[in-house]
Amino acid sequence: MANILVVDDDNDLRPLLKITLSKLGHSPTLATRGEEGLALALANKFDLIILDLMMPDIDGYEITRRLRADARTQDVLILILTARSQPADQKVAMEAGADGYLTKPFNHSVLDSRISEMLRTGPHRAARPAGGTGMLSLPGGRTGGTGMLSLPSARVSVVLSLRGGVGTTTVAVNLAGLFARAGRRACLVDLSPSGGHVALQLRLRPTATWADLPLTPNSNTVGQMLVRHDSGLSVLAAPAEPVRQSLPGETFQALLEVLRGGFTEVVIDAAPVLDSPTSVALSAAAYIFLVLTPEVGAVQTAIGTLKSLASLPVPENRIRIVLNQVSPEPGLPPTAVEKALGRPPDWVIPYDRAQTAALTHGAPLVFSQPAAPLIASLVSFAGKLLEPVNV
Amino acid sequence: MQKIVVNADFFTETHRISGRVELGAAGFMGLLNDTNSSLIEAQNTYVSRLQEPTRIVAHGETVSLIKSNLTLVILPRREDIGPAGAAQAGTGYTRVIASPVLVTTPTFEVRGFVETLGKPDHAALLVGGSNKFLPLYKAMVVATLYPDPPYAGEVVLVNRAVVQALTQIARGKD
Repeated sequence: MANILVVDDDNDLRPLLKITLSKLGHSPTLATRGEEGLALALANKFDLIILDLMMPDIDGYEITRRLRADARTQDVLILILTARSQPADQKVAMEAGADGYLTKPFNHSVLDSRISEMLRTGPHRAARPAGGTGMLSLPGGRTGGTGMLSLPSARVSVVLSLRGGVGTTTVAVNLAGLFARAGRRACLVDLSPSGGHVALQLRLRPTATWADLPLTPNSNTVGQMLVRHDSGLSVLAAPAEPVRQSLPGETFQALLEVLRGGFTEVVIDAAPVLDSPTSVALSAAAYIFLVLTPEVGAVQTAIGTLKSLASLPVPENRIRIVLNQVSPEPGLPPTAVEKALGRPPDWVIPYDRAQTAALTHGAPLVFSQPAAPLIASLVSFAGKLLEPVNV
Repeated sequence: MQKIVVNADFFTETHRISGRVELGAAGFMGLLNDTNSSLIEAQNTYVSRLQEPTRIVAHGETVSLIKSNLTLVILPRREDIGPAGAAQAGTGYTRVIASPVLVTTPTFEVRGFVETLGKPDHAALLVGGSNKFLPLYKAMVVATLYPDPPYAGEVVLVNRAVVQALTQIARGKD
């Protein structure tokens, strides 16, 4: 049983919440206004506060900030329950210090499971989206929840090319490695259905891959599939041998929600096809790195890909063009690529002969040769990446 | 007649207004297209500026919104739009085709899918029939002057009177 404070100005919802929480064995206290709720929260000890965002006197964002600023309530669990469903609203609430976010109208069983999950994972430390260091073990740590309840907090970056051989996996591995090196809780997902090479590049020997996931994965099952690199980077590997079917879209959606709940950075090495999981990943991505090499075929594919992304629809401002010089031959100059694509490359990766050795030895440059030209360009580019973004 | 209350985000050229609206059987499209009233009454509304869409600058128990001055409405749930007939301007034996489009207004660009019976006819979508709002499904909205953050909704209803351009951004299913 938990002491729960409900702060909501909705006169219809409040009594309903009281009944629901009482039936679930909790002890609810009701507040009709923000000021009243804040005073109650500061004067009493609650295990969890269910807080509306839109209230006439003080809004929920401000209440959350004040609660976090006060030593008496800085660790109390805060679940935002609001009609505001835009991603920006969630982001601001989380930045203010909320632990969970649930939109109205909601299902009571969903509310129950969300509350149980928050109480189980403990006080505020359980879910605050922060950079942090080290790796979080999903089974024993923060969970991603299920369905609409899970709180997306990690930033998702998708590395994509619909043409093979342009270095997508290399970019994904080094990008994820950079995040891990910077102390971010990072996870790299290899979505390739045709024999993924992420594990190979990292010299990992996964005992399970995404092909072993159940239809609706949860934090426990996902945790069992992850393999950890020495750097702290977690990897969900692809099957080593080609499989006939890619991951079902709904399974990937559930997987992504779990990962977003447990990590701060999720990097996806997308398959070279716009299948269901790739579409889900693209729609969730804060950044999409469209990789191409300076040759005619790759540029043509990139033009087609940009058109396809526009039709999904994916906002253009999330797309970053990555021009990867994979061979010593110069190929098309960046200006020609810019003319063809209608925009300049955002990141030009110089040819780096050390990359060949890195692939051979399973030692990505980001860990083995941080001064290599490839990594220098990544670090230079990643300065912008490591800034907070609106998802 | 059974009434349901839904949450909606109303957008004018300058403000975001979040509130609750009581709907009848005709759903949101029925409410918007009701020619007997030029207003929509929303309850428990909160007003934000487009520059800072998450900061609440005003609260109103009841707010009257002039339908013709709304630019668009974002609904989080598809079912709130109302019966499929009202949304698609007809039912029948023709397959519904979802086509991705971009719609621009003086303040917003909206990407989403129009659903039509047969191939989309731009004239019918923009000026045909008596519907005042054009529904776009699985849509994303960007305020051109304040592109961050974008908005998203299962349904975005765009006032046809303020639409400047509609373009199909990829070919729909044949």
